Amino acid sequence: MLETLLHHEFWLSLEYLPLAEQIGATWLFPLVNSLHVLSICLMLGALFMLDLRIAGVAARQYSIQQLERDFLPWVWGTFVVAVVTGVALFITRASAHVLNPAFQMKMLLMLLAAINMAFFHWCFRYNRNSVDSGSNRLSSKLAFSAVLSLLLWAGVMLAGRWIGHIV
Amino acid sequence: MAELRSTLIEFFNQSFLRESSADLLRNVPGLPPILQTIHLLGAAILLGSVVMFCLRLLSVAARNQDPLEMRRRLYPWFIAALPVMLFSALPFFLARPQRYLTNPVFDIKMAVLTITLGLSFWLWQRSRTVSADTISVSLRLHALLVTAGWILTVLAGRWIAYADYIFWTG
Repeated sequence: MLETLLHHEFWLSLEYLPLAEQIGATWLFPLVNSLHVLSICLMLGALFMLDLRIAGVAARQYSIQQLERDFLPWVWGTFVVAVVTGVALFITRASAHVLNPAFQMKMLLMLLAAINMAFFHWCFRYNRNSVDSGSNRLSSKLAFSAVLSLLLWAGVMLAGRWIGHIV
Repeated sequence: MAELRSTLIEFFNQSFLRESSADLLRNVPGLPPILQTIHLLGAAILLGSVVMFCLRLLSVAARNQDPLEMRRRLYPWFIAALPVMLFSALPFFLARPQRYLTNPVFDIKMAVLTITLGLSFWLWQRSRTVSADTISVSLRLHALLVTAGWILTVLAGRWIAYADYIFWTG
């Protein structure tokens, strides 16, 4: 099933989109690529600040809620740019990328990061009162999730960088 | 200038570090992408520390945080990122000095980086007594320059591999 999906001609047809050909054949490719890297670095810069606070390592004088208000808009804004530029890069070589183990690993790690984020929000939302009173069991759960987020996103970056080394 | 360049190329080519760096990058499985990722994570820390601080001075990000406190908290991260950046990049440079020293985009990156580093240290110095209500226009302009400098540095870094797109010599 997955095998058929990955070999489907849909991926090849993406590469023949006028937009994909335009990007792949011009200076748009390096431009989009560098914007992809820039947006990811900014995104992780903001996300890591938040994760390190939740893990109890940095900026403990601020509440988690306040840092979320300060940094989450940056995380999401830059994430959107990273996704748009990522798709633009992907369609230029879609059929090769879906079969690239580094690309597959990157998608898997992003899925795990999304699940981890959902777990975090679930813990946070249903225990808001105990967060404020500093419950230890809850904050260690949240800290675990934050450290996991750091590791998963570092892994996403590694897998992403690795894509270019497998041609 | 051309003479300086060829002297540098010769110097680094003869360095005993060239062979060992090249061996390391060739023989340790996955080392190139791992080092590049460390370099990128270092860039994320730079953007998260010095650029976030600039964005605060510009009142674009983290408006509820006290700039002076932010400065104290983020400065060590900025300092810690610098050796990480240097040592994650050095093996690539040492292994193939010619590739970088003859690349016009590398020149641009180094020039922008040097200026931006200087401006960054100066900004940290200047903001030692900053308070939320007294961010002067000149400090804001300074922060804007530093932000632009780091963004350009990151973009130029990625373009090193794509120098042919702008400087195609045929």
